[in-house]
Amino acid sequence: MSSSELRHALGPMCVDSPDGLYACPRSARELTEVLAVLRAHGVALGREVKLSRGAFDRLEAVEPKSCTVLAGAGLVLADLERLLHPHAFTLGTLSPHALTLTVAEFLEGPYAGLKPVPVGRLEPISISLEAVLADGRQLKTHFSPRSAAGPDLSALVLGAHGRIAVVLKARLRCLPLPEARQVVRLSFPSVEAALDGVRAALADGCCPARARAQKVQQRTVLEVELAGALDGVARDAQSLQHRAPTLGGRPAGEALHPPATPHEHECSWPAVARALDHGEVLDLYRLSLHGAIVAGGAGGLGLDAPARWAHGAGLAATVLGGPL
Amino acid sequence: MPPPPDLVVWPSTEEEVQAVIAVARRRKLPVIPYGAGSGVCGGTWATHGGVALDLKRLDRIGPVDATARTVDAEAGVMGETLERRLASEGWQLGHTPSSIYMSTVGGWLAARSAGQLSSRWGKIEDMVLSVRAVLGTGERLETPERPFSGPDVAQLLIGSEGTLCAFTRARLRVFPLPEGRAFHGYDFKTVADGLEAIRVMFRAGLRPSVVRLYDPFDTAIVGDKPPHVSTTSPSQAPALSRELLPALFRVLAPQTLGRPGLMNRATHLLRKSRLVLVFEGEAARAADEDAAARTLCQRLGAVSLGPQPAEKWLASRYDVSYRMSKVFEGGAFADTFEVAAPWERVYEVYQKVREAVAAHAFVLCHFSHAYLEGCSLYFSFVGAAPLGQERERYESIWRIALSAAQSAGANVSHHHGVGLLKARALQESLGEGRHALKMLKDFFDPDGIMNPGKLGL
Repeated sequence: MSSSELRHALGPMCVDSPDGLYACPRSARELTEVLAVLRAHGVALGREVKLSRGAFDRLEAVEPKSCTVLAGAGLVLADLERLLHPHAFTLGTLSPHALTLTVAEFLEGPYAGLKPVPVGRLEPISISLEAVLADGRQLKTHFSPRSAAGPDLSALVLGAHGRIAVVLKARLRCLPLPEARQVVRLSFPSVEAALDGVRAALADGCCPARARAQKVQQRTVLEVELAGALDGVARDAQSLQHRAPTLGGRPAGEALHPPATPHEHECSWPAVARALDHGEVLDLYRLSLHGAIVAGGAGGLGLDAPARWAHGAGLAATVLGGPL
Repeated sequence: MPPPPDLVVWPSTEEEVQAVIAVARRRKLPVIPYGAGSGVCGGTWATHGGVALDLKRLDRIGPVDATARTVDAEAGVMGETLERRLASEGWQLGHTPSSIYMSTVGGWLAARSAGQLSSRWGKIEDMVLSVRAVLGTGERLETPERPFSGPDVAQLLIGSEGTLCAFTRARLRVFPLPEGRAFHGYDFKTVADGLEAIRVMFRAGLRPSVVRLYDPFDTAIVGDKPPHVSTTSPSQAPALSRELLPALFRVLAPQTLGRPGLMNRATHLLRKSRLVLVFEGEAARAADEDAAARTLCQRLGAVSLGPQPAEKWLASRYDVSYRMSKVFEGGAFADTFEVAAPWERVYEVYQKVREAVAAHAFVLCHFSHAYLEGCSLYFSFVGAAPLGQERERYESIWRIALSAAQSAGANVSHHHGVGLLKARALQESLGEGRHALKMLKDFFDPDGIMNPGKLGL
C-alpha cells in the first residue's frame, strides 16, 4: 500500500514528517481507529507508519497522599521531573539516558519502567497504566499499591517495546523531593569486597541515588550518593560505613572522574565486577540486588536500542497479533 | 463441601508434571494444580472434576547462593520447611503468611501471596527472580533473570492460580537473618490518626517489616493480655471449655451475632486504634528506625505502649486462623476478605465496607502490608443467620462488601487471590482488559484444561 493511500485512510489522525508518516492519535478511541485502519491494510505500526504520542504530553493529576501522578505517555521524563518539583515530588534519580526518554519509551523499552525500592528490590515506576491492545481494546490496570487479582497485566506493556500494547497514560510512583544529599566515599581491598559492601548495604535498606566506582591502584573506590529525608540519609550513610570495615573498607579521599563513555547497559553484579577489573570507571544507577544500570564501559543489556527478546516474542506474535 | 476431583496424582519431577498435563490434554481433562490447600477463595475446587495435580512431592530445596543471595525451591516445598531450612544456614526469605504451616511455594506464586513481613521484604512477586513452570500446552518454560529484553513473562504467570500453568520451581531472593528486631506498640485516638502515621512513616523512608493498625473493635479484642499458650490437646481440655462454652455460644450466637446492627453500633463507643510495628535487620539500623517511628507517632498524638504489644503479636501471630473453627462449631459463620487501596481511598474504603455490611454481620478491620502509595485492608466479618439461610446471608455479605470496597476505590484482592469467590468481581473490574487475560489463557492453555472457572476463565 502506498503512503498516500495510508495518509488518506488515516485522515487527520496522521501527519507527514521528514522521517515518514506518523499516526498522531489524541485519544484512546483515535488510537483504536488508527489500529483498525492499519489492520485492515495489513500495515504494522512502527514500520510504514510510526506512532506519535505527542498529544499525551500533560501531567494530568497529582495525588499528594499516595505520592503518585498521572502522566501522559508522550511526556519526556526530564520535563516531567521539572513539572513535579513545584509539587515537592521527584521521580527519583534516573540515569542520564533515561531522562531523555518519554514515559512510554521508559516503560515499554529495555528499562522496563523499573525503579529501585529499599531492601534492594525493583518495582515498576508505574502503579497503573492506560494502554490500547493490538486488537484495539483498552487495558486499564487498577490504581492500587499491590494486587493478587490475577496476573499483573501491566507486564504486557513493561519492556514489551509496544508490540503487545501501546501505553497512553501512566500513574507513576514518585518520591518526596530529597531534603538532604550526601556522598560517602570508601575504598576496599578488592572489587568483590566493594560490591559485597554495596549489596549488604542494599539488603540493610540503604537505597542510594547513584554510585561511581573504579579500581585505583590496588584498591576499589566507591562513591555513593545518598538522597532523601534528613535522618534517612544519615541512616543510609551509617549502613554503608557499618558494613565497610568488615570487608576491609575505609574512608577514601579524592573524588573519581566521570566515565569516558555515556552508553548505558543493564548489568548483573558479576558484569559490573568484570568491568571494574578491566579498569573501567562506572556510574551506577538503579542499584538493586539484581544489578544496576551502568554508564561506562560495561557489558550487559544495551539500553540504547531494542534487543532480541529472551522470552515473550511468541506471545506478541501469536496471541495478541495485530498491527503493533 | 468442595466438589472432589476424579483423581489425584503426585508427580515427583517436572517431567512427570509434563506427562500428566500431556495426558490431560489428550483426554480434555481439567487439571487443578494443588499445593497445600490453604486458599480461601475456592481456587483449587474441582468444579469440573478432573485431575488434582498435587505438587507436594516436588519438595527439593537447593543450596543458598550466598553471593547472589538466592535459593531455588521446588513448588511443593512447604513454607515453614523452607524458612526453617534457610534459618539453619543464617538466611530467610522473609515470607511468613498466616498459612505458612499449610502453604507451598507453588501456592504462593499461584495466588500472589503476601507474608506478614511484606512491608519490608515484599510480596512473593517481589521475591521471585525467575520461575519454572509447565504450561497448559505441556511445554516447559523457565523465565529469564534480569537483565533481559522483552516483557517479564514471570509476572504474567504469577497470580494465574493454575489457569495458565503449574509452577514447578522458583528462584527466590534471600536475606541474612535479622541481626536485631525492635518492637513497639502505640495507641492512637482514632483510626484516621493511625493511618496517617503509617503514611508519613513510609514517606520518611522507614520500612518496618510489620505494620498492623487495628480498628477500635479489633483493638479491644487484641487487648493487653499476654498470649495464652495451651499445652493441652483439645480432647483433654476441661469439660467447661470443651462442651459447656461451645453450647453456650450456640445459644447466644443467634441473639448477638444474629443482630449485628446493634453490635456494630455499640462499637461506635470505642475509638482507640492500636498500631503494632516491628523493625528488623541490622541491629543499630532497626533501633534507629524504631526511634524515628516513635518520634513520628508521638507527634501525631499516639501513646507509646513499649515493646509488649508487638512481641505479643509475634508470639500469637498464627493463632487466629485456628480460632475460626470455634465460630463455625457455635453455629455462626466467620470469614475474612482483603483488598488494597491508595492512601487517598483507604479510609473511605474502610467506612463504606463497614456501613454496607453493618446490618448483616459484625465487622472488624485491620490495616497492614503498607507501601509508600497505600496499604491493604483486612476485614473480618462474623455473623449468624436462621437455620437454612446461612449460605444466602454469607454470600450476600460477600457481594455487598466487595462491591462497597470496589466502588470506594479498592482493588479486588491484595493477597488472598481470586479463585471462584472473586472471579466475577475480577472480570468486572478488568473491563475491556478481561480480553487480555483471555488471550493469555488462549496462548498458555489453548485447550482450556488448566483449573477451569478460576479467575472467571
